Amino acid sequence: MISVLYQNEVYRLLKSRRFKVMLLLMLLPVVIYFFTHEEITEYSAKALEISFQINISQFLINFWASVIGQLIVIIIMSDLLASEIDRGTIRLLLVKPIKKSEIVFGKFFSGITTVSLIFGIPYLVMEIYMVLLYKSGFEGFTATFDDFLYALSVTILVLGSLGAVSMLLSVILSRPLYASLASFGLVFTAQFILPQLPFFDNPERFNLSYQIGVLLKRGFTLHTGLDTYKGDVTMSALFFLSVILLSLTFTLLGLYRKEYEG
Amino acid sequence: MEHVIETKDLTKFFGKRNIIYHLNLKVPKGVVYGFLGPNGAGKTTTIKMLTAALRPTYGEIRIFGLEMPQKRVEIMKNVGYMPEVPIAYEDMTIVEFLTYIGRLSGLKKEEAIKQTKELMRYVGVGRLALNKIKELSSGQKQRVAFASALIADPELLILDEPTANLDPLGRIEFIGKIISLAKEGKTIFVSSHIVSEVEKMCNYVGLINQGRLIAQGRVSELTQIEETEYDIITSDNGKACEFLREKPYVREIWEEEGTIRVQVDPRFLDEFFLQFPKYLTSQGIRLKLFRPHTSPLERILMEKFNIGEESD
Ligand SMILES: Nc1ncnc2c1ncn2[C@@H]1O[C@H](COP(=O)(O)OP(=O)(O)OP(=O)(O)O)[C@@H](O)[C@H]1O
Ligand SMILES: [Mg+2]
Repeated sequence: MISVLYQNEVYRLLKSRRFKVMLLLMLLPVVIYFFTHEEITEYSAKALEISFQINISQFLINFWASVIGQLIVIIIMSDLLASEIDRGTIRLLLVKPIKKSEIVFGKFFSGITTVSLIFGIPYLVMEIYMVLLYKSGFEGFTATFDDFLYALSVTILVLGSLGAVSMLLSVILSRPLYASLASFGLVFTAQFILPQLPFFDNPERFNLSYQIGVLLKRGFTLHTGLDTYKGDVTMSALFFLSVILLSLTFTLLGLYRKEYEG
Repeated sequence: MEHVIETKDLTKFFGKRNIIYHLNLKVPKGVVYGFLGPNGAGKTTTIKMLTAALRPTYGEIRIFGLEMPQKRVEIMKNVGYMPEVPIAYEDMTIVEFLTYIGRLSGLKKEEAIKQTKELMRYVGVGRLALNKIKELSSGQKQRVAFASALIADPELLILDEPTANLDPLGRIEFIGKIISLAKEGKTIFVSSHIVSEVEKMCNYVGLINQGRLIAQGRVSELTQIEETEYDIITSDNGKACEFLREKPYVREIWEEEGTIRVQVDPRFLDEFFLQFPKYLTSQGIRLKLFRPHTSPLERILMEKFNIGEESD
């Protein structure tokens, strides 16, 4: 039953105009890179991989996982359940033999799938373009493919936790718009206000982009510039993972507690 | 399992307002149960509790003998539901919507598609198959909602004012469908405030007013009260009137648009029924119409609901 819900949801999301606009927006770094890329002095798979790690990290930290990317995730994820509650269609699901946990997970994973495409496609396009640029063919592609996967996993882990939080807020508030606004509020308070407070050392770590840097450091060993991101990779990963799990649990609880007047 | 739906002291508060009071519904298997009551009586609220959209403040609900909402998933395998206001994914086409609902009900893809095709024809929206739900009229939406309730061939149908937006012919068709579904052995719980419709399709009723269940039972048993007011048309109304006017057991009689309305003293109903036909036969007057002035169900309603008394 969860697969029916999941398939339907992914299909609906991929068909929406919102998805296409967001995907185009996320392709922007590729365009920028196309016009501004470095001069290539060495055509080898090794040189390609170093450059790929540097460029992907930069774009991820400064664009993909910055405010704009966070907005995209919040908008997508806070709509999943809240739109059903808001329009009353959740009642159609409640009279079907589908568990509430299946509803939550089906929705969450369909959102994550969409987010993976919105970010993964640009990463992949970037990778293919760079492989062509470095004329390193299939060898270059396989060399950078695990970097591509790693970057995507980091993105999904960090932004997925943000998405899970907005999903939780959307169930509490029952309105996609309010939930988006609340998520923005929460995230930006955490990112901009917390570092201002005097009693935290190393305050920039409250920034999601910063945490992306920390997480990338483990996989992108060829990019020494990432060493400036201080922090324990395992701790960060565990933190984001537990945010996801906790948010989903509370979302489920919220769904149990709620009444649907519709 | 004796009753398909059974509630025990079902009670609902909205804030401090007590909307449903100690409702003890008993819906036997295989009946068409008319849940009848005026606007605001609490029909929709009750149905929302039966379908897990609202939580009872206290009380129990058992459907197929299973506890709701704890056993919701199991129960819902065999329930078809039609909300008061049709809800649907407005951006889907009818085909997409019904197939999706069919799949969510546990049908395989091919089954869901087959059922969708059949049901679209059955409820009369076959030609609109590729229209989006948001492009439909409210009556058409209601037909789609009816189809979605039937899609998994459920044992129990819970329908909240299913005929509200249907045209007159649609209503007649709908009643026919309910009757034939009941013949297949399905249990149907249908809310309404239209007495004549309930009379035509239901063999069991629950009367609800201001959140209280006032009467419940088989229609034939509830309506075993003697009528005292009749409408009569004969081939010679003048003579018939003359005859009746002289009888002591006729309390009131008047003629209105060719119909005689007569009120009989309930103690002497036997005399009335013996003498009046005999007189007509002896005079060669033909009886064209003879019926109770109010329908039996309507009468119960009027008695039980104290019609005319302003209620809040
Ligand atoms: N969410 C709510 N909050 C507060 N009161 C409510 C709510 N929903 C319904 N009510 C009240 O509960 C009462 C019963 O409403 P309900 O919708 O169950 O009536 P109904 O019998 O279905 O009427 P109708 O024939 O008009 O559909 C009404 O007085 C209504 O004002
Ligand atoms: Mg109602």
